[in-house]
Amino acid sequence: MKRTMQKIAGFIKTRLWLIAMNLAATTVGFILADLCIESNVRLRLINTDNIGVILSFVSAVAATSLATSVLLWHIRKYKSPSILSGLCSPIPTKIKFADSILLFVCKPDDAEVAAGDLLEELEKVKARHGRWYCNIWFIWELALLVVAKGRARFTKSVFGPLVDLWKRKSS
Amino acid sequence: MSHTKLSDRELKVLLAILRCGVEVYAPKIRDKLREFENEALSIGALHSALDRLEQRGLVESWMGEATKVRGGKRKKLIKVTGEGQIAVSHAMHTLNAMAEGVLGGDGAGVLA
Repeated sequence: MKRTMQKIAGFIKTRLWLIAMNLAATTVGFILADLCIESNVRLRLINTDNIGVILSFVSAVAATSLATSVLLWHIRKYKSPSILSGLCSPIPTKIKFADSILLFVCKPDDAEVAAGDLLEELEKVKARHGRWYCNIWFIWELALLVVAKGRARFTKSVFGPLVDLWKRKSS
Repeated sequence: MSHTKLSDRELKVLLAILRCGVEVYAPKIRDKLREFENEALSIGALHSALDRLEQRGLVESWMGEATKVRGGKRKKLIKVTGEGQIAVSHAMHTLNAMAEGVLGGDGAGVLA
């Protein structure tokens, strides 16, 4: 019994990210389904509530199975999926991954500094909270960094010329 | 004379830089902010605040050495400029002037 429980725990632990992705996909599926039902109720596209419930179920299952099959295909094709291995890999690989992503949204110097800062904080978070929390923290912080740096770059590249033009005209 | 206006976050970041002393860079500032507040500022938010301060000439930065702790990546060292120090002192004077009569340990203030 104890061994079976250990096996189950080991199975769940090694496939935690897959379970998490499945849960996320199901949530997205249900949100989509909810939107379908709401638009159905508002616009009266279909006059049966049962259809909405069926739609909800079908889209949730479809989203889940699609996400899972894409992931499994990715794993089979590349053996170690690039994005997932980047996010859940040992810390040096993680930082290379972060560096390469940050290069899309900022200058090489800025990307290097941001990746270095991320690594320094990551070591502290890992020591304090453990491996899994550090993985989640890394994904979250990287996403925030990309948004922060990307927003600045986007604002500069799109609105920068317009502001320059306006300044030139007003002077 | 008009002074540079600082947001709450910018003021905190500038004060953290001034408190850190020598060789200040983003993780050090984050640690210092964490000392005073329970919630830590995200790295992205801190970087954008520092970029904004640098654009306004309140801080200056230069590239430091690469270290092993940072995986061979260089750090960006930061220093508050004279203009930044003036902005901080003006903001603190305004805050203190506004708090006078509101905060009072001897029971004289509204929030004793």
